[in-house]
Amino acid sequence: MAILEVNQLKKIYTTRFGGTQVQALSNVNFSVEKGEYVAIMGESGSGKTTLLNILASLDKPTSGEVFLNSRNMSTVPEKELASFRRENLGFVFQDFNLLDTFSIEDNIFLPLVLSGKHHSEMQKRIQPLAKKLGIEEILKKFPYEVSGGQKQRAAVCRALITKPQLILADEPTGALDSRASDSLLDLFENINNEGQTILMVTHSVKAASTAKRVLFIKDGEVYHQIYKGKSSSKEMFQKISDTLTLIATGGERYE
Amino acid sequence: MNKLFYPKLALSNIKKNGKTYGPYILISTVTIAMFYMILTLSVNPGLRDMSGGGVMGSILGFGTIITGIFAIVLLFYTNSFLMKRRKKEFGLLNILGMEKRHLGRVIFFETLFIACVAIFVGLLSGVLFSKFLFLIIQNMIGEGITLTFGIDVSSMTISVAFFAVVYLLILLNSVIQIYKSNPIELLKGGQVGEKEPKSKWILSVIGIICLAAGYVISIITKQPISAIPNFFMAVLLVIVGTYMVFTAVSITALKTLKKNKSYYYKSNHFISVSGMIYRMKQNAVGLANICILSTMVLVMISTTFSLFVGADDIMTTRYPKEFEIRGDYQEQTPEQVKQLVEKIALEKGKEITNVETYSYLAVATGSEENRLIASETFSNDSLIMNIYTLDRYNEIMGTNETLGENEALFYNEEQKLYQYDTIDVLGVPLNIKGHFEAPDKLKDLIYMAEPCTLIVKDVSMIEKIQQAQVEAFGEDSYLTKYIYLFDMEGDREELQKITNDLETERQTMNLDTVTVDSRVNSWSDFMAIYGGLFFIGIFLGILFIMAAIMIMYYKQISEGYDDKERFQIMKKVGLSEKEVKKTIHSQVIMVFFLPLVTAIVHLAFAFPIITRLLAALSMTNIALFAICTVGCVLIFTLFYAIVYTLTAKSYYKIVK
Repeated sequence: MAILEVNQLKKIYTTRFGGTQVQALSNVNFSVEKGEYVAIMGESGSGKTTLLNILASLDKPTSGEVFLNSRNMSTVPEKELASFRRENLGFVFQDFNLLDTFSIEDNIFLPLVLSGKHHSEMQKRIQPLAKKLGIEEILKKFPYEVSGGQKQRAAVCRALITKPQLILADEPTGALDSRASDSLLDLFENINNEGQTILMVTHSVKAASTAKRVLFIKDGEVYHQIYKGKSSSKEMFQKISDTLTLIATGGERYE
Repeated sequence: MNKLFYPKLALSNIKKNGKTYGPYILISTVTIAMFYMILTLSVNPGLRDMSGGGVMGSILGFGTIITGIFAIVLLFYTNSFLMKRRKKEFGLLNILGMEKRHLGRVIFFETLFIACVAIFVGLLSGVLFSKFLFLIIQNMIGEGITLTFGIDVSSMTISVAFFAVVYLLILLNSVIQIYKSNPIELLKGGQVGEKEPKSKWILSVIGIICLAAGYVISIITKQPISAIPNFFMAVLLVIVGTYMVFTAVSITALKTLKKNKSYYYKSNHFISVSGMIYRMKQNAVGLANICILSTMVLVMISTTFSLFVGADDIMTTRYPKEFEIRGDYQEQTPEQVKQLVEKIALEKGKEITNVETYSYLAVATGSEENRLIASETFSNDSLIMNIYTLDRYNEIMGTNETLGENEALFYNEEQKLYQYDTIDVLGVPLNIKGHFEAPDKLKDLIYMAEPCTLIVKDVSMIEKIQQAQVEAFGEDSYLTKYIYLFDMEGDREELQKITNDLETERQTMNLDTVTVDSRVNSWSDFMAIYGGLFFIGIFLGILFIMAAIMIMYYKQISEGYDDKERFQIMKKVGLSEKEVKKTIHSQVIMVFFLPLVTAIVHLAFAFPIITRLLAALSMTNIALFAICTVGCVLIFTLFYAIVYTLTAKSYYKIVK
């Protein structure tokens, strides 16, 4: 069953005084099955971030539809949008987006507090997650006191604690060094193996090679996709690199 | 490199930072204008010549000094805020290849431009508005003053010199700041990792104790004489307390709330408590400043305004009748004074009405058990005893009390010595027949010590005590006074004329110890003092309000930049825009109105001691003072709210 379905998504930005129009997405179609781990790749300006913002309901498409769990997101009323987002989606951002006024623990609790969960429930949820993510030691610390990798794991913990349908990750390794990146990607694979659906936007080949499927976006369209299948991450890495080279040098389109 | 490069860069920098530099230039200009105005006013020859002008002059001189000091503080505060905001910009220029001495040059030109514009426009508007100001003063004080309006070159020179020095210091301060930091630091600017503040229990306790002590002093001070030193003590304690309450108590309290898990982890408490902790950490001092400034404004305007409005009341307290003739008591004095007054009345064809005469003696002593003894120094045991005759007592109290030769009635507000049946006044033993509650007329309000009143049988007894006093203190001790009060019909001019005639007649009659005084005579003196105080109150009030607005404005802006990021993160994490707005709004309101509420609480607690101070100035109409205070609070609150709305707008603009 598809958890996420994107149909003929189109987004056109108009400059403030209606002058020039920029087409960020022209016609995007794809779907994500439950338990999948999908990476979306593309060069800067290919429309990745726009797509993610629309999926996160932070932005509205010009036309087209997004179904999350068979529910059309454009029919979710404005009032419920925030709580809908909170309950169904988990976010991991490139720059972590942790609030510096909260301790790591409180940052993780934030979505639960907003949903009105009881404190004992929060404690119950955080224990196993923190252990799995290896951040038990730093829960009481503040974001400025810990490393980038730890911050990102805290952000993952925050995304997971609401038990969301789908995790949206925007360049999660973008601000991390290679070791922290590796351990984060391992983490993603692990949680995916446990059944968590993940959609990641990245332009790191390394990051994408951990995904089970990679979509390539070019000029606002899904241009190509490859499945990992039984191949190893290394082989996947090679496939992705080849594809990227092909796209960059303007090879024939095939599907 | 082009010679004009630095000036040009400086100019474009100022333009680029218009949002923050505009208000800075504006406030500089206004401060300079105000400094010039009060300076030129205080040295105006017309002011010196009017009656009571000397007092007014020194009040204004004092005001000039305060304005000057305040200008320094305000301009420094504003400038250091601006420099902090611009660190990033300087860091960038530094990295792009400008050395620190080049940056110094840019800052030099910036300061020079700002100083020139502010001083020029400030003096210009100062000259224009001083005309307006003179008119106001003239209206307030009434006739008897002619202020000459002109361009006061010497005041201008002083103003220019003073502010040139201030700007030089500001420039030095900015340059030192630049030199002390390195480019990376500059680039990072304000965004150094914010540590969560710790609970400061000791400071909190000290703060609360200071505040409580200040409040208690205000409430328990009963004697006008101790009101003045106590008032300053209380002010000091409250200022210290305010700073500590804002910096330490607030954070300690919030952290305690945070520890309470079931309270803290609620969606409407969670964000606001942790947000408030940071806001308080960053803004505590600024908020304490606003609070103290607001309190000062409220106290100053409400007291000086009530003095000004209550001047009539004060006059009637001080002068119960139109005329007051006062002299040392000798056997022939009552008759002589009567002759004097009747003669003038006959000449003018006026009727003498409401005559009131009495004698009294004021004795200042120390006390030892039930003995009042001679004491040179003034201490807590000191008493100032006003001794009246039984006639006066019966007249005022409307009673038919009788007293034996050595008997007396005794009153003392704190009921000191009430346990004794006899009191020995400097060796004169008196049996206390009873105690009573003295009305104002039987206390001498002019003296500022605790009023004690002793009622004795007649003048001969008073003289006996005076004799004892002369023996104890020597020749320069108080003498028994004879007071003759009366009314006469007439307009101000006539009454003034009668006063003058009484005075000439007194001289021809050789009544050396007698003085002639009247309400009319003191009117202009009074107006000079109270009008002057009120004027200063308003003047400094405006200055302080301006400073408070400035601090608020910059606080809003700097918070806006910080909150912008937080706002976006919260939105991404799953707060709806409405919720984010609500939490931010409630925090902003809280931070904004906290100082005002604290200021009003301060004012409420200051009320008792201020009434004592006013009593020392003969202002006893507490109801009037209360009304003035409430009025001031209302107007100030309204004003504050307006400022809030205006500054909040610029805040939301940034956050959006």
